[in-house]
Amino acid sequence: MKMQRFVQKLLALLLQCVVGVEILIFVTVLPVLFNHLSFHFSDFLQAIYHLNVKVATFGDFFTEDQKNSLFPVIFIKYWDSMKMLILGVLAAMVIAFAISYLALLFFKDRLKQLKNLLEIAESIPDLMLILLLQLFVIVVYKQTGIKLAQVVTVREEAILLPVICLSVPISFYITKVMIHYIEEELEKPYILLAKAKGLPFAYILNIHVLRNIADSMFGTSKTILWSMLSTLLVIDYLFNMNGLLRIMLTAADPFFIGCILIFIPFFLMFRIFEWISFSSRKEIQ
Amino acid sequence: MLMFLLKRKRFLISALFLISLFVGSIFNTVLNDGEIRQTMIQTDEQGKILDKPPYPPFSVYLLGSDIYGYDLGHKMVEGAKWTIGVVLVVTFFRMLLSLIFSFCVYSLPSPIYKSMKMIFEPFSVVPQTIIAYFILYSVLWMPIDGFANPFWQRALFETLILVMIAIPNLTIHISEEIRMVVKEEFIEASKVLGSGKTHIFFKHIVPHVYEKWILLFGQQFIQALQLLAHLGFMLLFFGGTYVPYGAPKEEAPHSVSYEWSGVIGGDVSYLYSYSWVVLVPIGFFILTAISVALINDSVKAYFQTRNAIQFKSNGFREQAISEGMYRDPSPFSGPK
Repeated sequence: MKMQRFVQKLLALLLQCVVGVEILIFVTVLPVLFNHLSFHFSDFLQAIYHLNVKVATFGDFFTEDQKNSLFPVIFIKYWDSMKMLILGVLAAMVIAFAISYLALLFFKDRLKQLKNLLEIAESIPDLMLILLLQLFVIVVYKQTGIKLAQVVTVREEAILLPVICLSVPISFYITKVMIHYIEEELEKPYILLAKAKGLPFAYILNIHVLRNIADSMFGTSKTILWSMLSTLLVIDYLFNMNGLLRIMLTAADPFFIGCILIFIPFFLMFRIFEWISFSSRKEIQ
Repeated sequence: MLMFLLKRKRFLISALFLISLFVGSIFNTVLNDGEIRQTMIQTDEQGKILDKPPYPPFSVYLLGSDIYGYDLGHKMVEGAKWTIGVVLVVTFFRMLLSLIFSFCVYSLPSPIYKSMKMIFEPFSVVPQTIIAYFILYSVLWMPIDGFANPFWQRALFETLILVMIAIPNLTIHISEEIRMVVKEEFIEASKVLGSGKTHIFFKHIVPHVYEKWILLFGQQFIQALQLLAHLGFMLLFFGGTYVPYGAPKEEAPHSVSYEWSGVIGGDVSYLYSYSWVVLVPIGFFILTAISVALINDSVKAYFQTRNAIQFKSNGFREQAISEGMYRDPSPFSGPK
């Protein structure tokens, strides 16, 4: 019985992946439809068919110049970009944790102002923040001669500044969400019990609250990763890094493969998370 | 509502900023023919060259000039109607269309609704900027023999794509919220009493969620602004990118209108040498985004106080809180 349900779920997952790939094919071929701003419907259908055949037979996908095969190259770029993304997520989490802990432990009566501030900071377009950060590093270097970070990848790879730029814009959002969840959690009765037992506030925060908000925090990961990916694109351009997202914009084939490389792993991750998450476990019980 | 908002300083300042920028921009086009002040080379009486563009801020013009000697502040005002106007139009149609779609979609039976969500899944994983760039590139990037289509067609197409690209996520978000309300008991009661779908929607659902919609409008505004900035940064300007093929190297691709993101994208290479050329448009972008965020914040505060007053006057606020009915209108909802 259990086995059957598992197989059913697996099949559904596979079907969903296939549907997702079809949608991506549709998007990839869309420029054909609007070529020169008039409708080319038969061309469009034909292009969809060709791309489908290409995917089904594992045909050759080419880079921009239509000669070199895409395949070993794009995986290297993919790995580079994902490394960046993982580092960025970690850095953003660290920043968000630091801010919300500091706020809750020391500035509890100023929380409202902090939330307003975060709301405003979050609204600033990430591109602007990145440009300002980069300018800041340059100005510091010009004034004092201290090179805070490598600004552009020329020979040695710039790592520190891109990661900071990737994580700072999104960390405002994460902080806001985290403070909100922690506040919500702090109103629950078990916190009162813990306080009555005489446990210190830091202990309650670390042990009880943190465990209970982890699930909700993972729930927001979709939004976070989604907006981080678009920030990553800007960073690819600005720091002259040849990441995945930059090569995706050169031609249709890289775009399609890149979309699949982004979509399928994240999709599987979200689904698996949904299965094992606390709320779904609770529902089954 | 208006009185409450006008009493808040942050609302007043941000609204005034946006409106004056927009109106000033339109006046500049109507009365001044869209001309922008320009100072080529400054000379003294003997014809000696004193200074040449770009002028730093506070010298010739308040906000400095770009490399061709155009007044940057004036240029920003002229471009404001494009940036703010386009973003407003895009946001408005995004909201309108997704509201209509949500209205059609929210009452679908659960399996169909779930499969619809599944179909829209890729749009919530692959970033908007990439899809938008990919679709728009063939239309907006000038081919070697000039644009095949007039400006208004290109602009319309871009607006359409910028609208359509957010519809899947937004529709799911809005209809999900509606479905939360539909689960409540009073909907059931209303159905038993014999009300139709339209009646339930407008009489019972809309009063519950319209506050969130208004706040969502502000969020979408900021998101569309960000998308436009990204596109401009990648040299895809609103209404088309003019590419000077064969022209001398100094003339970079530039925007057809003076739209802000185009100014940033075209001049981003001057960030280190003449930083104000880029910093001024960045400043305007940030101010616009912050203004919208502040307006949104004020509106949220209005909803909160109004709800609190309502509950208090009805005398069941405590009860409402304990039953979980009194909620913060919007903690952080909305796809970012």
